[in-house]
Amino acid sequence: MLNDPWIDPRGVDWTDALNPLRNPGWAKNNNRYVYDSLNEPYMMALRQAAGVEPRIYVGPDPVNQLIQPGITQDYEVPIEPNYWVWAVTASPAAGADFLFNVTDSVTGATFFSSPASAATLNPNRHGTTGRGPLYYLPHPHLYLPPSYPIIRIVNTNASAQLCRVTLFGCVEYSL
Amino acid sequence: MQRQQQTSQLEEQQQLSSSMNPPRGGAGNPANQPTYVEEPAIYYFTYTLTSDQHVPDIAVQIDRDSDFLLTGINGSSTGTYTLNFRLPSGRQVSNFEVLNTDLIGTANQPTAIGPPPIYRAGSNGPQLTLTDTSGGSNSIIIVFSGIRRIRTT
Repeated sequence: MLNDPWIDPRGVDWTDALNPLRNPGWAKNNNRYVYDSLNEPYMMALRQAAGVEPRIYVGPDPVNQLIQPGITQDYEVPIEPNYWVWAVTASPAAGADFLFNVTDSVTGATFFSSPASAATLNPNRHGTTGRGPLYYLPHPHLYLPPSYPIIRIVNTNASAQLCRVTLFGCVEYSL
Repeated sequence: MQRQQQTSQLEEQQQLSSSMNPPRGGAGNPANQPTYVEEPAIYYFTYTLTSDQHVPDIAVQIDRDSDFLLTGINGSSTGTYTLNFRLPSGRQVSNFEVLNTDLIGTANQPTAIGPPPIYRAGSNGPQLTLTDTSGGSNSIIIVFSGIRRIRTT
């Protein structure tokens, strides 16, 4: 890894916010996973696309974020059409955990093969806040109409807690 | 004689070429395009929320001399809070307010906002909506980092 060639900063497109060369935490010899995710061909196209704007969806809605122990709750995210998701975060209460997954309502495709631990994906829990809060997907997922994401949360904690899953991506809009 | 014929053929080709590709003018001509200088830019925002306070649409004024490409967000606070902000289109970036630890990155690794929204010079910028969830006084610092684009011609 240390033999990777030096990249002249004058050759970096600094206006591309998701360019892995512009952040030290995404460097090839620091975080190969994110480096590869952001250089994935679809991601590359979205990074430089015109007529798209960033969009974040939080689920569940604030009224339904308090989930009782042992309860499984689904939240159908009211997205705009043609929503691309490329990253996710999950925030359990301090010292607690919950399991979650995100499913495409039409194709049934899921982010994870089985529900993932929110604490495992949360950088505050394992001391990697220096790399930012987002967990980047290896390939951005498009929700083509009429599909939408369904966030399933299972509160495995012994008490009720606020559970949040946040999706990061972009939507199309006319210029 | 042969040379004269070649010259006339060349002139004919040039005439044909100029009739097919008329000289460009106006905005289509690269020479008439506006030129810009890009510089690093950081807009530093501070606010102190009281317990459970909710404040909508606080302007982060963009300088009048340059547009601003927002590429990253980082910051710190003395407690938890939720936030949302507006894009140049006027729409909010999120359907509900986002927990600060889910969006606000660190100085080492600001959370990337991409493709970068371009806030016009003199605009209200990313108008912030903030809600305290700490239950106490909450001093918030949010750093909007990006690129300043100054028009030179």
